[in-house]
Amino acid sequence: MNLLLLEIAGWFGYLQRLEVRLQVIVLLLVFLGQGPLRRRLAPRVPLAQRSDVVIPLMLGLFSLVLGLAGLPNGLVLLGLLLYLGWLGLAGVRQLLARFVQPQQLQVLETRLIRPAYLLVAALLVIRVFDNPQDLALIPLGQWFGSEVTLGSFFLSVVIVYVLAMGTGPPAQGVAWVVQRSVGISNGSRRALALMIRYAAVAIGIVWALDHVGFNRTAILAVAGGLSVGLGFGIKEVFSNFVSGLWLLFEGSVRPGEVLFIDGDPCEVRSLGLRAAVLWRDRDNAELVIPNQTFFTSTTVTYTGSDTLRRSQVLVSAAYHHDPEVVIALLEATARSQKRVLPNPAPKGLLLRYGDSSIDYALRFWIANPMDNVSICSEVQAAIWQAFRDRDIEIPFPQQVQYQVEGPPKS
Amino acid sequence: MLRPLQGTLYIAVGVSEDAIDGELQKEIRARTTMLQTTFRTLQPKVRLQVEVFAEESLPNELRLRNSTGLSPDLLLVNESTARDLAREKLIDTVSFPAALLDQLDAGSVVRVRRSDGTLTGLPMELQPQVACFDRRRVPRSPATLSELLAFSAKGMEVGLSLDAISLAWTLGPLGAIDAVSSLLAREPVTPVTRQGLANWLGWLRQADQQQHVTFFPTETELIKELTAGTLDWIPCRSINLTRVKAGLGQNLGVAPLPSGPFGGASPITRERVLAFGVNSSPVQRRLALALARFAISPLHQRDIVLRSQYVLPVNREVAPPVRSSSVVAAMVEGRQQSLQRSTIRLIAASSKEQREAWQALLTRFLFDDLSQQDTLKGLIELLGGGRSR
Repeated sequence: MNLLLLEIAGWFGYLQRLEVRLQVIVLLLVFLGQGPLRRRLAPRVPLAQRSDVVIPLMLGLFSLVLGLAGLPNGLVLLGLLLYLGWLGLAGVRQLLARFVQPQQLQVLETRLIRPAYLLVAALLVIRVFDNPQDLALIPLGQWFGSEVTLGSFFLSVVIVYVLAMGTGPPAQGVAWVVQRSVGISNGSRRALALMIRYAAVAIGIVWALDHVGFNRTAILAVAGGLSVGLGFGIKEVFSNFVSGLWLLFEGSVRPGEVLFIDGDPCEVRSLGLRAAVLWRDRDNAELVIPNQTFFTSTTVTYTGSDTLRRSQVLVSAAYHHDPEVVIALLEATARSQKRVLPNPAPKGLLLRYGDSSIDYALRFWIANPMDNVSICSEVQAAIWQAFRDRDIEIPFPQQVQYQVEGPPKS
Repeated sequence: MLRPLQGTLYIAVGVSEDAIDGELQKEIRARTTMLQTTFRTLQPKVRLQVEVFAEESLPNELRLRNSTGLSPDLLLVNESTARDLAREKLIDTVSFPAALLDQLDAGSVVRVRRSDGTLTGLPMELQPQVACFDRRRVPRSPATLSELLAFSAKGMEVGLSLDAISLAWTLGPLGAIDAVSSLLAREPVTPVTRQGLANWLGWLRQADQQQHVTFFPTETELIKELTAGTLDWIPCRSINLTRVKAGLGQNLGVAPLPSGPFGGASPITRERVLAFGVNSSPVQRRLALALARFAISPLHQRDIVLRSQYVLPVNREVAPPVRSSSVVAAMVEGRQQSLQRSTIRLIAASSKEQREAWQALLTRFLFDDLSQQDTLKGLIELLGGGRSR
C-alpha cells in the first residue's frame, strides 16, 4: 500500500515542469472560472449561459494557443475530450430511452453507465501520468496468505460490481428466451431472471476471490468463523435473504404476483436480498416488506395457480320486481362488460330479503386481480343504467316511525 | 551548482512485452531503489519514480507522453530502441565529453553515436546470452551442438526459442551467420549463402525431431519451464539469471553457449542505454545527466556486477571478476562470442517486421507446414528484401 501511495505522490513531481503547470492552470481556470465568466457574458451573449458551449470553446481555444506556441497541450485536449464524452452520455441516454423503460434506464444510467464513464476517465488520466499495467502489479499486501496486487483487486471489484449492477437486462433476456421456448408464466420468468442474476453474482464473487489468489482453505476457515458471528449478529439479514431465496423457489412471492396486504391487492415489484417491494394500486404506494414476513405468516395470493379473480358486487331491488328478471338482467349486464370474463359465466344470486329491498349479488370473473376495483365500478355503473332502462327500482331504506304520546297506560 | 539538486526523476524501463510480470517489476524496482540509495550520496534530495513499459509500445507511449509534457526524464532501453526513438525525435539526443565516453566500451559507443556526433543515449550495461541449466539433471553443459543433441537423446530436456534474436546464437556454429549478414546487406545470393542457411535449417529440423527438444515462442516461456523443472537446458539472457536463480537456487548452472562445426556460438548481447526524454525541466535534465554519469561511473558499475545483477559493465575500467565467478566468466565469454561473430549487426540491419516474419516462417517450418526448400526460399526473400532465385 505504501508503494501505491508513493507512486501517486510521485505524480505531483511533474509539476516541476512549466508546460505541465501551464496546462493544469488552464484546466483549473476553465472549470473554476467558467461560472463567473458566463454570468458576466450572459446578458450580452445568450449562448454564454450554456456551460456545454463555453467550456469546450475555452478548452479548445487554450489548446490551440498552447499548440501554436509550440507547447504540449495534451492534458488540455484530454480535459476537452473527457468533458465532451460526459456531454455525450446525454445522447446515449436518449438512444437507450427508445429501448429501455424509464425506471430501468435511470438505474442503468446512475449505477452502470456514469460510473463506467468515470472509471474510464480516471484510467485515461492515470494513463498519461503513469503506466496502468505497471500500477496493476503493485502489491497491496498479503491477504489470506496470498499477495494481492492492485490490478487483481481492482479487476475483481469492478467485475463483481458490473455483475451486480449490469446483469439485470441480460438475465431478463435469458429468462424471456426460456419463457418463449418452455412457456413458463410471467412470474416464473421474473423469478428465473432473479435467480440467474444471483447465480451470476455468486459465480463472479467466487471467481474474483480466485482471481485475486486468496487461499481457499483460509477463506473457508474465515467463513466458518464468520458464520457463527453472522448467526448472532445479523441473523435477521440472513434470515430475510434465505427467506427470499426460498420464496423464489417456492413461487408464492415472485415479481408480478398479486398478494392481499391489509385488504388491498398489491403487486410484487421486486424480491430483494432483504425485502420485497410491493405496489399498492389504491394510492400508488410502495410497500417494503421483509421477506421473512411472507415466510412466517399467511399470504393471500390471487396469482398462485392462475391469475383469475372472482369479484362480486352487491345490489338491491324493490320487492315488486320479479327476482328471476332481476337476476337475468344482472348476468346480462355483467356479460356485456368487456373486462368481465365470459367463462366462467357471471352468476347472479338472491342473497336475502332485506327490510326494504331484496338483496342480490352478482359474481363474475376477471383476468387481472389488480383491476378489481375499476371493473367493479364499471359493472355497478352498468347495473344502474340497466335498472333505469328497465324501470327497476333500487329502493331507499324505508322505516315508519310512530310517535308515542305520553307514557303507556297501565 | 554546489547546491544539491532537488526533485523527482521519472525513469521508464523498457522490457520485452511478454516478460512483464510482478516478479520483473519487483526486480526493476529493487534495482532502482539501489540506484537511488547510492545516487543519494551525491544528490540527497532526489527521488526516482520508475515505470515499466513494453519496449515495443514505447514509440506510441512517448508520442502520447510528449504531447502532454509528461515524458520520462530517462529511459533505460535497448540500443536499437533508442536509435528508433531518436529517429522519430521522440527522445532528445545528447552529448557527453570525449573523456567520459573513452571510459566506455568502444563498440557500444559507436552504435549510439549519430552522424551529427550526438548520442541516442549513454550505454549503461551489457546483457549477454548464455546457457542456463539445472545441475541436478545436467552435470555439464554441452560444449558443441552435436553434444547438445546427444545429451538430449539421453534425456536432457532442451528448450529453444523461435524468437530471431534468441535463436541467433545457432547461426554461427552452423555456418549461416555470414549468409544472413550478406542477405541483410542486399548482397547477391550465392550457393554458399544457400548452403549456409540449408545447414542451419537442417540442424533445426534435426533438433525438432528429437523427443527431448522443444521450441517455444519466447524466452520468457523457456525461463518459466526451466524454473518449473520441465526443461533442463535453455539459452537465456543474463538479465534473467536473477529470476532463474530465485527458482533453482544453487542448482542453476551457467555456461557459454555451444559451438559447432563452423565455429563458436553467435549470441547477441543486448546493449542497454540511458536515453533522455524531451519534456524534462532544466533541473530534471541536470539531474538526469548527473544520474547517467553516476550510472556509468566505475563505482556504480562495479556495484552492479558485484551485487549479482547479472549484467556486464560498459565501463572499461571495471574488470568483471571472471576468476571468482563462473557465471561472470560465462557472461564475458558470451560477450566475446557476440563480438567475434558481429551478430549485433543483425539487429542493426534487420527490422522488427523482418524478425517477426522470421519467427512465423520458422514456426511453419517446424510444424511441417513448409518444406525446407520453401522455408529457405522464404528466408532469402524475407532477409534479402524480396529476392529469391
